Amino acid sequence: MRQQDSNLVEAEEVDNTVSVMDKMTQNELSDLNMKQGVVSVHEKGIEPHTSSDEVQNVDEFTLPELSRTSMSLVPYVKRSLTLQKLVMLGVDLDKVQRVKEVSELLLKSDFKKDLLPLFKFLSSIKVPVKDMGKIFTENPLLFKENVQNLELRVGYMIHKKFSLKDIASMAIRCSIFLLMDPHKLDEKLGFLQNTFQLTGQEVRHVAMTYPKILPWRQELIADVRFHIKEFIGFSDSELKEIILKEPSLYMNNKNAMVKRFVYLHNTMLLDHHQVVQWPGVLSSRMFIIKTRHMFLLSLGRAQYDPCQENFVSLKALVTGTDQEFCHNVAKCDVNKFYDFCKTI
Amino acid sequence: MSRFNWAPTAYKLLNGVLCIYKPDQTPVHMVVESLKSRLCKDLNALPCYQHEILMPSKVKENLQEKSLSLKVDPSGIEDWSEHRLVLGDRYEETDIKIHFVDGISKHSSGVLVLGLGMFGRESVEMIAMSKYLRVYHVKGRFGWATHNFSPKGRILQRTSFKHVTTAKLEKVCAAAQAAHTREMYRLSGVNPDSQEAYEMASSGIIRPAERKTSPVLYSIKCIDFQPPDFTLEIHSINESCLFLRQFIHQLAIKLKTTAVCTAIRRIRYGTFNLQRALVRQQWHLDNIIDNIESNNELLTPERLLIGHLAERVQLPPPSHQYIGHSKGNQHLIGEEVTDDFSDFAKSNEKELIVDSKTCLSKRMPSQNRDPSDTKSSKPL
Repeated sequence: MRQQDSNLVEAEEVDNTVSVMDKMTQNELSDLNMKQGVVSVHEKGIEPHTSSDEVQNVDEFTLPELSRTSMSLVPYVKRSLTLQKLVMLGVDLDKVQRVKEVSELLLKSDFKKDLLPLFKFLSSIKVPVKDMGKIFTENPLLFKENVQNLELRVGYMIHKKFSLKDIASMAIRCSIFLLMDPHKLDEKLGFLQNTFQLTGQEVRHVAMTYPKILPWRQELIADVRFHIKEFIGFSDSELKEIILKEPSLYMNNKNAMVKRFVYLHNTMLLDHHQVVQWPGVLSSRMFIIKTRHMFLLSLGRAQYDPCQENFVSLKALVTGTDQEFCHNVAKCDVNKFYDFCKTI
Repeated sequence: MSRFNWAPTAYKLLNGVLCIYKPDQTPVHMVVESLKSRLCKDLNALPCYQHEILMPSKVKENLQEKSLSLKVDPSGIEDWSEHRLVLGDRYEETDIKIHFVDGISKHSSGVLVLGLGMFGRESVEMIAMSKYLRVYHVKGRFGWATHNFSPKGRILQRTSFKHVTTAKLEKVCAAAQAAHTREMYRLSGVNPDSQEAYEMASSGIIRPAERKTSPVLYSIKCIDFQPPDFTLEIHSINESCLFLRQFIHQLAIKLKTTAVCTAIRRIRYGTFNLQRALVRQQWHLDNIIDNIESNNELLTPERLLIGHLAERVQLPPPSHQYIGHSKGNQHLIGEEVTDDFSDFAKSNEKELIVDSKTCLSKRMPSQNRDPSDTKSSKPL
């Protein structure tokens, strides 16, 4: 079984505990001493404190439980309805608790009072319920936000003529943009527009197709653009075409992209125009391009000129599983391809 | 889709010897890391916790509820603290232990034997002790020499190679092989003029007594010569990739030219051949488990203890031969590959043994000669 290696979770603030400790009866204190060091929270010794309510329905923890340290949220889940509801909604508590201070926040918060407004807000921008867990798992700091801030940010997006449906799909794929300040968001959209000479509609298209580009640092995007412009030699219009077709390319490793282009250009004899037809080839893995090209070469099928017959498009070459590739492009058995790979 | 429906079942089967084809440009430790992460990914994709196999339909229904009402019936799950979303993925990369035997360098490709789990580790140790024969295809290119023998290194010298012919190349290969045959007797710890040496040579391959001593080349053949490129097939024990590259360099110097080593490809490691090896695209849970199962047939004691023959001076009787294990497999390259034990007695190395026998018989009359001349003529 795996080990829980998350950061230490203090169940309650220390001074808070001390102040409450004064009020504790002698009985409770002795019980606390007895419980020190015991890992499981669900011991019968705790139950007298909570006997007035049903165990499953109690969201508040008894003092002995809270004054003890725990490595993870796991011991609290059985008792806390808040945490159970989060799990039901698909929030991965294991990932969430790795972010600093989030687990304390979740333990202290009440689902109905603190967290439900956030879910209601997401539902109001038409995020399907099954995707809400994913949003909070990837971006646990969203638990700390209040709804007014989120409304402000979404309001800005609507002002920039994004439809609600677009915003919802962007939030699912890149929830971090919900935490971005409208000023910064505006700056980023403006940067994209100015650097690549895009129209307003095109900026929206780029943000829609790959929302992860929004929180990405501007300098890095500019650096990659400069690098592939100077080292590969794409023109400005080609760079624009690339960001419209495959924005993720500007977040890739620039040196690896140049390497792939060198192989495509010098070995497979493709020109810049052909690469821009499907720029995703620059972000696919080198060994896939290499083995498949060499295999097609051995079969006499490496024909990348669209004007001649048996044309193989770059997309068909690189995407798809080996079975699909062998069936659609190489027209042979997949084992023949694997045997070929063993001769390289 | 995997054929398993319970991850711990599959995890328990990851215990044995795995044979893969290492791609070039990837170091062995990266291969191991990649295998670990792929296995973890595949294992975690399977049902790992009780609630996932007991009533998966009910849980799914709850998660996909359209409205935001929170009156989801939790009766399907009694203990929420054992949910995957609470405990996280069941398998981590540290849960999978992989050991490899006789790795190859980053720029070489070929068959690599790995041990998974406890049984795999023990088997890999046994395999290492048995000193299996390895077969390489080493490619070289005449014309220049570099500081690290690879084509990408700093160029030290350019030479012409017009005078090199197939016959000359084969002659140098044969000379190197003969020199290594003498080395073979030295490392096996047997007097080459003795009856023991004769019996060893007639029963099969003479292995070095110790692991990680100096390399022994059993056969060097030129299988392809298209100037400036050439390919050698080398059978060896205790070699390293650096040694093979160096060997190409020294071979070329004997031919009065220079060469760099462009590729090293291991096509066989003892009984593990290319047919068994999994290429990178096949490194998935099901394939790996199938491979481990099929490799179990190679882990019989008589196959694993073969290397101890060299350490035993007392040899088994001449009738005791392992030819029964041989299976003629057709190779990708087209040459016949048989099992480790029989191939020296049967297939293309036959002339080597004949060679050593004739070499011995020639020496017979001059037994009193000073042995220093054999020691002075070191292999290439």
